[in-house]
Amino acid sequence: MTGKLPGPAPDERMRPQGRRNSQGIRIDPEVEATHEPRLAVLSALVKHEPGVLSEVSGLFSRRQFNIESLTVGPSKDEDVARMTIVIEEPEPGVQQAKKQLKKLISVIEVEELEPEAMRRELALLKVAGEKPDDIQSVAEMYGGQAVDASRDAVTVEITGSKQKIDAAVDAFEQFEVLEVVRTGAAALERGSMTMDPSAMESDN
Amino acid sequence: MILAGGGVIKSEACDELHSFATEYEIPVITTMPGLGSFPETEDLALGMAGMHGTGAANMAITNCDALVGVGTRFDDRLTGGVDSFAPDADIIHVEIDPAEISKNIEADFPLIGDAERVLEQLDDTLTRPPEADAWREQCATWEEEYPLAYEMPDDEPLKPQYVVETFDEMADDDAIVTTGVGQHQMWAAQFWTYTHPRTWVSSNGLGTMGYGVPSAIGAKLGAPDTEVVCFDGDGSFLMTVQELSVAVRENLDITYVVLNNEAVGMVRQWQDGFYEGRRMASEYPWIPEFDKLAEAFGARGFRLEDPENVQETIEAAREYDGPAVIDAIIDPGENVYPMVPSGGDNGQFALSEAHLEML
Repeated sequence: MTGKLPGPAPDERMRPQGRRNSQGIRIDPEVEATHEPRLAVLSALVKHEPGVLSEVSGLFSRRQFNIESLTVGPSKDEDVARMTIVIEEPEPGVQQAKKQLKKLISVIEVEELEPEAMRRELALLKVAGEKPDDIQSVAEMYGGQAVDASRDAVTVEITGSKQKIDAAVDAFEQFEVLEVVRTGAAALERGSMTMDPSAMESDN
Repeated sequence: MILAGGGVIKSEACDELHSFATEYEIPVITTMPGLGSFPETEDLALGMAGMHGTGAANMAITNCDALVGVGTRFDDRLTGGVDSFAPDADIIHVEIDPAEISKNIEADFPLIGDAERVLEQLDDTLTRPPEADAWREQCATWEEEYPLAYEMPDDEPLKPQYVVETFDEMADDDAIVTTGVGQHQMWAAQFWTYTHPRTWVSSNGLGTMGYGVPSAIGAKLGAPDTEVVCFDGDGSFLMTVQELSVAVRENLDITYVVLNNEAVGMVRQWQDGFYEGRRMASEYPWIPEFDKLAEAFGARGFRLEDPENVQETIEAAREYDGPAVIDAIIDPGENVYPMVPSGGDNGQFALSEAHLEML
């Protein structure tokens, strides 16, 4: 049967003291330095054609990036769609997600939006309709409105930042919330800066 | 340390790598796709690192203080556990794809560009070799301490390592080796001496069994005047054996060596090493006789069992002008070592199954 290869056994060998963390970064083992995850909003211009969404979502699932939300819709140019992807990752993961996205042929340009970028989300809440006036007044507090009412239920629309919608959903918990749907973030940089796909293409 | 990956070969940077490494006397380790990027006959060559790499390469990569990775993606079969990979080393990563930088191992100094040009530029920038006599001596000591060795007792069956080694001695220097995936692939990587780029044709970390038979056909069509040898396992060979008919149709002069242990040996090795020997669907002694199967295809078939016949069988197969298949019945008890368990510490490679249990 198999002989043993010659040489000192594992516990007889010299061994370096250092260590790396799970992101491959050298660390001082005494002070374990791991990066804390953070929320990052990636805005991507992609070719508006079938299969792109599955390419992007496939990339994220293969590389196990943690997606908070992903929205996609038409942009100014009918051949180009805009994807807004919110991920929660440590800094190296955010950078890696950007670089991997840029490698996809159907992705034209990727940018991480600044924290102060405008971010909006839409939520529809279906609330049991026993007190329609109360529901309406809570909706108004959050700048929302009732968009549908039946004998048993009122559906309310709220637009705003994630925090505002979180707060609104909480507030509606005093009634019986039957259903909630949220769109995920749509986001744009403040000011006059744009991601111009035609300019980007000529870059390449 | 220099770590040369497959990118060195793809960017035709082997000559530049050779002059850079020899001028500055830097020891060179290769990845599996990097086999052939730097001649293994050089003193500075430490062989392949990683899961089944040489002891010297894995000791050196673990203990070095500066690592120049060229055209490599720091794949997990190379790095083992990331926490213990070259933990004291500054990593200089020469790579053409920005997305590979700091993907698996953080690059302290990323150099993005074509391997040949970046190596040229590094060469222009450096003025003298680093003072590393002690380091080179240490590497030489590791090479002595951890030779790739195997025993051949008279009462035991044919050893696969001996078949590969004997063929290597007989074959042309620039012969092309193709492989499937598994134990035979590792023996072919370990016991053949690679001195020329593009002489190692394998699916490497992608792990596509059955790659050996058709890739040998491709290699022969691409380089008709070069000797082509395919080392295959019985498991991999059976996956694409039908392509032999193409080799026969085109009368391609290829020597196929099936290292036959009547098992998907690497799967069995893992079941023995990590699953308390609970073997499941890894052994199949009811496979065909490959020499006869080859004859049925219209190729020449040879059966090889006795270690004393290795040389003459290889000679006869090489002399045959057309596809020849050697069914080499090897010791089913033979496993691949050294071995770094998946996610393990490269410096803590096992030299035997007993070591695996210690780890």
